[in-house]
Amino acid sequence: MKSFIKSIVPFIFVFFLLSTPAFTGEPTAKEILDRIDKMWRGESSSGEVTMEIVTAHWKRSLTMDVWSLGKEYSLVKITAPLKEKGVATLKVEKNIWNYLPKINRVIKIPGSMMMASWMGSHFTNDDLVKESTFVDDYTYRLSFSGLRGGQFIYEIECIPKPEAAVVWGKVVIIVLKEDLIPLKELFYDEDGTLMRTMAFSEVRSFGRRTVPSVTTLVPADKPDELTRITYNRLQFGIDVDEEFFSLRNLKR
Amino acid sequence: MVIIKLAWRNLWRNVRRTLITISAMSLALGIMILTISLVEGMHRQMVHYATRLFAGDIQINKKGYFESKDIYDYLSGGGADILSAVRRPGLHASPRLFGSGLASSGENSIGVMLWGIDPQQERRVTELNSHLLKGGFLTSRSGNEVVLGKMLAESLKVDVGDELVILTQAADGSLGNEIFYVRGVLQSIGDEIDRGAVIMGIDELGKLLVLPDKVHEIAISLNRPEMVDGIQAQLEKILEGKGVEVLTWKEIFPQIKEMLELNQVWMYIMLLIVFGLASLGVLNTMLMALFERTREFGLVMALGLRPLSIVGMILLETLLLSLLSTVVGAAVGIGLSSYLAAHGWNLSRFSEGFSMSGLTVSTTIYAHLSMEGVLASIICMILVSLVAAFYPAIKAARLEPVSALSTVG
Amino acid sequence: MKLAWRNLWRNVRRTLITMVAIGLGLALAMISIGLGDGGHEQMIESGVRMGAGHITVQPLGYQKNPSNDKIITDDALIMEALKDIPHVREASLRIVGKGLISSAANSSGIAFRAVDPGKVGDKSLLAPHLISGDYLAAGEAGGILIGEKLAQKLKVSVGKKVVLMGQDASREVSSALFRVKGIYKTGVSDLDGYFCLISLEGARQFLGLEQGITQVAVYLDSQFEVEKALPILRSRLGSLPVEVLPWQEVMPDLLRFVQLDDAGNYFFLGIILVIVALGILNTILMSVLERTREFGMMLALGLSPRFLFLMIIFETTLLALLSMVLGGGLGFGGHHYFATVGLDLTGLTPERLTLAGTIISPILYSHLRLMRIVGLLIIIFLVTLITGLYPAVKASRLSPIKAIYQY
Repeated sequence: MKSFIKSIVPFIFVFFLLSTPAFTGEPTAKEILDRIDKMWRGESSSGEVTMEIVTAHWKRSLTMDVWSLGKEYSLVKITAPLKEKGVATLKVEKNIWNYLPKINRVIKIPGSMMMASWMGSHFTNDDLVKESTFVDDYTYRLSFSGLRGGQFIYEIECIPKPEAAVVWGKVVIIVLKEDLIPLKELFYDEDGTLMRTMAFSEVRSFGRRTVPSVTTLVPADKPDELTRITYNRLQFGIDVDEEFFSLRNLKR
Repeated sequence: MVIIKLAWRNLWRNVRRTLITISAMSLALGIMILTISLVEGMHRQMVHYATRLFAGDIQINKKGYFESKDIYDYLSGGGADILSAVRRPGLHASPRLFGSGLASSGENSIGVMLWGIDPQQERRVTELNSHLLKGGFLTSRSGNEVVLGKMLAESLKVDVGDELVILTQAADGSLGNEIFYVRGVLQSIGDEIDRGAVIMGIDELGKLLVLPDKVHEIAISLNRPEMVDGIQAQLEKILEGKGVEVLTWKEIFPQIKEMLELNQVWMYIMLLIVFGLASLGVLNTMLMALFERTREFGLVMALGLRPLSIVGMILLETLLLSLLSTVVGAAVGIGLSSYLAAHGWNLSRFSEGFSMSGLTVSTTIYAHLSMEGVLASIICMILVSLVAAFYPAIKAARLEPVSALSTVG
Repeated sequence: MKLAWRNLWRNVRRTLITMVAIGLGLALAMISIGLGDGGHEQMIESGVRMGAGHITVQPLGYQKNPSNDKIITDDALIMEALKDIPHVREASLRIVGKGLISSAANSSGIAFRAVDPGKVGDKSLLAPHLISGDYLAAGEAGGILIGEKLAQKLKVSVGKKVVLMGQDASREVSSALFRVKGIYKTGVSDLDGYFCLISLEGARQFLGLEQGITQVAVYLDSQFEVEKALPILRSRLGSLPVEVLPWQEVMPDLLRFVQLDDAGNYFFLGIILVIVALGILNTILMSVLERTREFGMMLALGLSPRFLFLMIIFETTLLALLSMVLGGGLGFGGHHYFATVGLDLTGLTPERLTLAGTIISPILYSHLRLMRIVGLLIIIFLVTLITGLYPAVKASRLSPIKAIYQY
């Protein structure tokens, strides 16, 4: 029941943290995030990603085709390995469905499974869903600006709004000053304990955009485990509409 | 010898009084035996319910599994060495595999526990197979059939023959998914099973979880459940160094164990009251029977019997009386208890069975006749009657023959 | 009459022993009935709090087929209907459901119940067991009470946030943030690890409900008023799509347990009665036997057999009455002790027990209802009389000559 949703999540994150030209002055956190937000609002994309998962017990790699429209719609279809070929996840707003070709059934993920992992990765179903409301759920503050670790960076501290349904105590996003390319996203609990780290690397150009092509998630309590998502192909401004993200297409 | 004969003859001089005394004492004894058997029977039945519905008397897991329930904590080598180690008379063992997943039917999806069992072995260990509400039980270690808990079936809105999709994260990280058909729905057994158990063949679950031929647990039932602690110790010794944990149902369900202990205290209090009252009856009877004979004792004393002999005679009479009562009473008590042991005492017109700390309890109470119970009852009765006889006996021995003779009675 | 009285005291010792036997039996029977009933009443009261009130109003068909999307929208009408029904102490509007609770560290499936924080009946379930924090307060929609076990699993403490996720009425996934307001420890694993209490307001925000509830728990002055209040409520709510059920139907397990336990107690009482009857029979039979000669003499002197019969019956009756006074006194004393001090089973019991879905308090309080005592007294009295009958008949049929010579 770990669902496919999780693959969508990194996908969305990448969009969220798409690079964009640098500011001339010292911007506010809001300005930085708005700039990024504006870039992908209503944006459509498709591509191919490889997801590697390493746990204490096993290691595997999945290849999948992904489509997205804005933050609300995503579709993911596994193409390899053979055993899971055709397994697909559809996310429309807060709902997630899985399609299982072997038994030809579509299963809607119930609320009680939202915290379960997606496809065995370290992402949960909820990560996929939550991503779409990230901007609305937090307040932001530019907590650092300057040289750190040999790079000029902005550090943005995101504090969940008091009423937002978010478990984290804070989320810290670190982006490169120059082109706003994301480096890291750190998730803390309310006591300030680091719970997981998402790191971005391998900046590549896909058409007119430059993005980090590799996203790595490491749970803080299991430092030997990770989930790594690599974009092999990525294309923006493709011709899809909301109709595309239907249960019918999920099965196809 | 003479004194025994005398006592015996005395007993039968007043046939009616003796018969009344004997009947009173034997009835008291009968009731004691019956009560103790019922109490013991109820206790055993509760243990039975705690163990025979799913847990088994003893469970063997890899060390740590009981706490972690981690699917990777399986027994090495499919538990084959353990299975062979526990293959011995009086023990039945059954392998099990567990997992968790999502069960889905139509619009309804619910997170469930997946239990893989070997139906042939399992029926020797537990009585899951006979606690079906509808449909049938599993027949083999594989096949796409499942049996599920009552409340789960209701929540998923599935019935026998319906399709059920199971999704799970397999041990290799892949997404296990399969269509199953509901073969049966279990009766209410316990919250955990009722609310969330999907039971299938162990090989089938092994395939789904990609844990082929793996075993998480070996459940053992004993022909003599009361030996559980001793057998646990033996098994621990045999399996030492294999990295396994041998737990009894008392450790698996500490709450039930404590509840049973409490229940037992209650029952013993009841037993004590019944014994107390029955003893009081015996005492009463003996006192009366003897005081009635004050005049007679005076007479024999006047005839030259020593006081000590009087005491001896009275005690002997009492002993004879209680032995006779023992025969009758034990027959009555054992008879009734054996009847209730065989046929049970059906309380279903009072109630339909209920759940206690998450376990369902049935309404037919079976008595359990034990040597210890019968002996305890007999000893208690004989002691009480002897004690009861002592006072009048001493009193008689101290009699002034003359005043005794003139006593009315 | 007088004669019977005098006869009774001619053999003081015997009479006393018999009185003690009968009296003790009666006293024990009273105490065990009192403790049994008291225990059951405690269980039912606790069950009613853990469950859904003495009487439950819920959507039609919910009992058979519970589901989150069944909602009562006529709660105002229901409250109105409950207004002047005698013995209704409180009615609590609730939303109950299942969902998922998560913290930064972990997540867990749960059952939640949303109540009005001001309702005393609901408050009494968890408020006494709080180990940290406070009970929910009115006007704080985002508070949640969770059990100790759940708090440990989620690694949260008072003030920390958790997210509840569930399915709303239209089966959409909904979620909301709550802050841990209090942590309780009841010792009941289902409550401590699987149950959360939130406010109605909070649940409405969580599930996106403007109005509506899933259940009304009606608390009565006592469990003995259910039969009076139920028909009134049923007739008043007859037109609404709801079902009105007594606790016996909502919690059949509890009812069954109480019935079964009662059956056990009756069995025990039966044994006590048999023993008591045996004692009486014995005493009377013996005393009649002993006096056969005397009776023969009385008959020979012209006493009518009827008179003799009556005399023995009187003797029995007197004996029974005396014993009952003694036993009643002892029994009542014992009952009074256990009713005020209680029978403390702590030390014998595990932390806390659940039986048929209720918490069992480790201190049992005796409760005797007049009807039960009267019933018991009548039974013992009748048993005594009946056992007196046989020796009485026997004595009245004596042939005077035989009686005098034979004995």
